[in-house]
Amino acid sequence: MKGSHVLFVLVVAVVAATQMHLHKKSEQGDRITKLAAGLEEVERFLPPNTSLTLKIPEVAPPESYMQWRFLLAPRYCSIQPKEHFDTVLALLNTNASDSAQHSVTDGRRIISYSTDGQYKYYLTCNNK
Amino acid sequence: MHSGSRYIIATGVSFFCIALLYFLSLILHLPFLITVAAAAMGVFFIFKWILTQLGPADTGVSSWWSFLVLVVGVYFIVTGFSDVAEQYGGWDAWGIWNFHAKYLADPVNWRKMFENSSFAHPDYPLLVPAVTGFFIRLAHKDYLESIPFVFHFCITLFIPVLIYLENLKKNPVVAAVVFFLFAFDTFYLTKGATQYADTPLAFFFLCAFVTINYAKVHRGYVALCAICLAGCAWTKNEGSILALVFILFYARTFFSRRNIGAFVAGMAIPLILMVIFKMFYATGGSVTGNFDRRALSQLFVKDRYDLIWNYFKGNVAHKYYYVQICLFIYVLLCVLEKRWPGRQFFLLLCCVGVYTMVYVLTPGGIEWLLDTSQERLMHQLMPALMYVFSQRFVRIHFSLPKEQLS
Repeated sequence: MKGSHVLFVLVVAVVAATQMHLHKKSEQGDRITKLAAGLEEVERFLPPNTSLTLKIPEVAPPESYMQWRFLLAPRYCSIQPKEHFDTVLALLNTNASDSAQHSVTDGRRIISYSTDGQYKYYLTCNNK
Repeated sequence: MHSGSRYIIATGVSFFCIALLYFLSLILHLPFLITVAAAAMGVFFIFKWILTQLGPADTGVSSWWSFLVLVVGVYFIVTGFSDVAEQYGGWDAWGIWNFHAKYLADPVNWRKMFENSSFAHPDYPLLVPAVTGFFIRLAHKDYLESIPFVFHFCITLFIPVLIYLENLKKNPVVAAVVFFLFAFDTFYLTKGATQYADTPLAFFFLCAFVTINYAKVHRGYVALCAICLAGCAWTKNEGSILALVFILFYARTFFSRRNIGAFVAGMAIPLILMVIFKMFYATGGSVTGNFDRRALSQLFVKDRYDLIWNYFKGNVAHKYYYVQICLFIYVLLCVLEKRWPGRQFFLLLCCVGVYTMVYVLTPGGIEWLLDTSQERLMHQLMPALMYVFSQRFVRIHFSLPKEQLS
């Protein structure tokens, strides 16, 4: 068996696996893709060098912060209470109460607002 | 060495070369066009060197049977891998490795990666993120999902094929059996599909085992082995430990007058870049970096050893059952042949011992750590272990008529 034959089999395998992967749907993939779609509108206002505070819903699944952070990279997203950035991206569940919405927008300028059916995205900055 | 093995190792080394060049280009602010040209030239010379300069290659058993086994095995790997692969990989893929890759794909803001101190481990070596980051930048960020997949699929596929090709000439039956064990091992395929760095580390470690066995054939294999060990260190922090243990076991080979030049040549550039990365970019934060005096007192806590052993037994029984059987056959063969296990077996045993000591010395409770990482550490060693076992098994001769193999 020649090396070129092995190489041929490997290349065919890589192409076939990639094709299968691209056409595959999974629950996790759908979830991240959905989150990415939700962030599209917000991303237009966030240059890649932005550092921002991310406020996420308390009831969001534990992996959500890391998924949002992954999708927003290379921006730096912090959830640390110690770090304060001028720009804040607040995510609320669509059924969040008016007071919850008020708490993230009160005294701040809204740069962008969008919703994707699952979350509401408020991108705000200081009013000064 | 089989010519197919050379293609596989050349591809792995090319990935490593691209990662190093890309990291260098980021710190030197080189234009991407120059980086791509340098990477293309690097890959060209790596292939030329490995395919033509390391003495004549063999082609193993020249038969339709061996080719059919390869095709069938690869088919099962493709389908098995696709079944278990998530679109974006596992938790650490989007939490760490592909997350880092997204930073590295941005030449202006890549340093922001180091600001992520929580749950992101910016001190982790850059081989995997740099390769995928390079290709994401070369293609487009829309390919964020497929590029890491292709890279990890290649590596997951290369490991069993490399072991198969290396065993093929000596014993096609054993080669096929070991190959199919991998092809049907859902746990192995799942670990590859998670897009974590454990499988690339396992690959480079395996390549070091394979290439060192040809050290007597050509000095170039020593350089190649050194590159693979450097690749281990560039893939994960544990890789440095594995590389160190390997170098200690083969110190006489590496530091002999004949080989020391080749060893230094293979190791020097990756090592210098690693020192630059660790000193000027990556900050501490790994588990092993948090040792204090109290940690030493844990050496004498029996419960920790019991806990580690129980997890180890559980992992072997549920996730590496065939490795357990292979170990039994290996030991049995050693007893029957009245020969000690080989140096490579003791090397791997030592790696297990070192990993155990890391757990013992880790401050605080280790149950969560064992739960999340021990199976992956074993996954890093498993391909090399199967290679070592199979190198002994190929000496078993089945009485198959020659015409069945041709």
